[in-house]
Amino acid sequence: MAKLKEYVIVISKNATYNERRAAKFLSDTIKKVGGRRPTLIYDDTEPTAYEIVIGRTEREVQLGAEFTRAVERAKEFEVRCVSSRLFVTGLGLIPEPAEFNPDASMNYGDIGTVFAVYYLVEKVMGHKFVYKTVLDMYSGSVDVEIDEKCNFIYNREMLLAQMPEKIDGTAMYYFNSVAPSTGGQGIIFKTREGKLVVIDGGLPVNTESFLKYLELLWDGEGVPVVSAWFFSHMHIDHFGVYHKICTTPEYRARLKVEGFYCDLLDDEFYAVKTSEPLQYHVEVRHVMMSEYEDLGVKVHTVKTGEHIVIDELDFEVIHTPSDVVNNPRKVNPNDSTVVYKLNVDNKQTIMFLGDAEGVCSDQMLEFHKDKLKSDVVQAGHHGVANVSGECYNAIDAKVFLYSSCLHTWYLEWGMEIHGAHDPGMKRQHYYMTRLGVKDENVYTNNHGMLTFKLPIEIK
Amino acid sequence: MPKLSQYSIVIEKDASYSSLAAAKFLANNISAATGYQIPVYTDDLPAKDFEIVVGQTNREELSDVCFERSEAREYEYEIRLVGTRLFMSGLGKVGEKIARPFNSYVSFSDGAIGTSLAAYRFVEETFGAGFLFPADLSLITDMDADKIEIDGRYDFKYTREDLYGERPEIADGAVMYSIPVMGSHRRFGNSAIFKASDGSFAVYNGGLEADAEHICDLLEYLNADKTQKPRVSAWLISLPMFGYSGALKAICEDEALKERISVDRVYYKVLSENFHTKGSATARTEHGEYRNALLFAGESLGCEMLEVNTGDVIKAGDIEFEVLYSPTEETESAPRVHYFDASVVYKAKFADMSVVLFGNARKRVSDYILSNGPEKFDCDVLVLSNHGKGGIARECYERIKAKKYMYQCCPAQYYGDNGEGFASDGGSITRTRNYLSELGISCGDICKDTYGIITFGNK
Repeated sequence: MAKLKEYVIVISKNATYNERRAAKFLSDTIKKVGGRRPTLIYDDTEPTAYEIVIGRTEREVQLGAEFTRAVERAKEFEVRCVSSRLFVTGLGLIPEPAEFNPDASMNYGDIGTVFAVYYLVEKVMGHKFVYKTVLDMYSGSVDVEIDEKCNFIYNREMLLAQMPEKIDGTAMYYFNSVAPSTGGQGIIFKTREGKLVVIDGGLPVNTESFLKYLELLWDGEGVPVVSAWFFSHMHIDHFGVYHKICTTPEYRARLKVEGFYCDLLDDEFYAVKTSEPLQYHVEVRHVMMSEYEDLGVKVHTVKTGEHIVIDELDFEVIHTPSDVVNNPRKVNPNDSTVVYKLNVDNKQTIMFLGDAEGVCSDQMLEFHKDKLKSDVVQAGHHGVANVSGECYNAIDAKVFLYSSCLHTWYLEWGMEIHGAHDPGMKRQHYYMTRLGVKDENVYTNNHGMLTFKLPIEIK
Repeated sequence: MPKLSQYSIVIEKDASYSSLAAAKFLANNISAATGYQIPVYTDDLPAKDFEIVVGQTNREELSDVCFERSEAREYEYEIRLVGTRLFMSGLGKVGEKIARPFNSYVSFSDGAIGTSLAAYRFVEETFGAGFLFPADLSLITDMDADKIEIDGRYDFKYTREDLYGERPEIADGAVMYSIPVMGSHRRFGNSAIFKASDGSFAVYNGGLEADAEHICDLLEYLNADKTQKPRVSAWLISLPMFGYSGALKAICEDEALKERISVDRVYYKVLSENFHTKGSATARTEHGEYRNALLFAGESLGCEMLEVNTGDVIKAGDIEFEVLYSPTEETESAPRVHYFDASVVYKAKFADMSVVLFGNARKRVSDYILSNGPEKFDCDVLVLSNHGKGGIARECYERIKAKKYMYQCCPAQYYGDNGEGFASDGGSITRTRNYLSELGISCGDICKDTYGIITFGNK
């Protein structure tokens, strides 16, 4: 066993763009934190004792380390200690070159290797490079010991195998997608009395898992009963699960939903008036507004100021799309979000911003500023382009929850991990810095689901 | 002489987003290059002798330094050594603009972008351009902070006045001057003046409307016969758009400017009004205005208007321009055609050298090069398309085999970091740099007109 600072970095003699940049990032970070740059060698040299092997190399053959790679595993990765070597690699394969597209990203099928190195730096070295204050530039250590404790697999099998931990009392379960780095939002609450409440649900691919989570958490008889299913807005990473349940009789038979709470606008909004007009969203709207007998669901259109109380959970509707539908600005689906503020037993407030953006932000500041103060906030739109600094100032939360995925969490400007939203994410980090949010009060589900006992402990 | 290892970074206690970003960028690069964990603190702490002062702080009063700041100078900056204190600051008026309506996607503007650009300049001047090539392991820089002297060489002023005030050496024979476009803070445009041996001129584009006077100033300065107005025998336009045909438009609309020069012929290509205003990706109503203004140039200037076609040869004194690519009606009907696909590509031949001016060429040109052979595009200097943001496939660069590459762009584009709010299309500028890097093009073979006029020919 040796310390990170004793390791050399190995990459393929024919390393790809992403493998080289991953190696450079690790090399720079080790030097930044530890003061000395690790030696970098290529895989056409004899193996040495302590090596961090980045990406796909000959070392896998030389040292008998096998990885299951496939083109469709581009966003998956593995960190595995084999003897005294640490393999840090994506699980994708470079696909056949496609026709040149000037707007294509530089992911090249091996972005997983970059994610793997970021994971190593963030979780093993403890270097806060994603969200950090300027006065904490050199966090982390190169004295960490490299052993099996570093092992981590981020792949579809791992995500599928996750199950929520049952805890006593009021709980909140913050799920991520079972499809690697695809994001979305799905939250389940369980009250002291065992009632279940949901916000959104996530992508359709998560439906089976989400139902399993509900079944596991349900203590009552028969199929799980969701007392209230709150819906934020018309994007598939939010409506996917509920829409899939509604359109699949076998799924509808596996639960009951007492109330579906939403504010879905008229067909014309989704088909024409929004800045992202889509006929499909009209069809989805019709599905979600239907009251399926076997599901037992009653659809309830929420109004600003309304309270929906389930045991100790009091959800107040802070903002609805009906408030802004006549806004002269083009309202996009994100801005058609319903914003809820949860009061947990009068002990803590949590603001769920959904994917709220500029129109929501301005509306809330103009009409509901006095109601925005919250202890905890779900960072709007997965932490990327969302509400304004002025709005976050008014919310003034101590805890930030990100429902993100690797490509949003590890945004890296200029390298196209996630291009269009870059300034929004950086802006959000600045707001958090300005508010003095501590690292330990920032939670993200990007490496796996999170379980919170409510109220959330503020560190 | 003080050494970098003696220095700390100081920022304002309530530093702006861009100042924080600049300080982080500096600390990251200094520690990665030297291993020196440069301390970072805020200006409410006691001043020290050796400080790198980032952005606007109370140290300015302490050192009796004054920077002329204004809203119009947001993208300008100054790096200045005062005693042992090194100031690097944007010249914008600092303060987050609390804008309503708030736009979640707009670049972050806090008046201090110039401070970030100054930090990038410092790093480039001190450690080289490695930070611009995230995957080029040959550009990893390791230096000793004890040996880096902080001295008078750190004296950079990036302002509109300075760039407009620059006058190039007047060379004999045929010469090309690549002119920084400064009419806008974000400088989307390009411009070059060619001087033929007989003293006549050719102008390539000319930049933005606000650059019109500067172009006239330079033409008058370069004109050998002060008794006559400078004669532009050929004004070549690559694309009817604000940063390209804007200066010509402004001259046509301003009697005083029109009086200062004579223009014999304007060479151009426009497609249908519908293509410019609606039919292509990124088409805009304003592109139609530039198209129509360009068509009016002949009447306004009393000059000949000549539409160019692929294969045309234009003579301007002893300078020859070959039209390597000009769009056609077929371009308009191509699938997924982009506005930039309407760019004309010229090759200038003069003084035993050749320069290919890609304009904003994109995929149509890229495909044309690959299907028609790259030989015609062979050149000594290749001016990268779209300010280095790239719309051209790697294979084209590989097959053209230029000796030198030039960026015609502003710092915000050259330092391509979308996350800082720089309008740089981060990924595409990185992708083009990666092509150059993988093709073995050294930094020494890459130049830019970002910080001043670049002269080709004669020498």
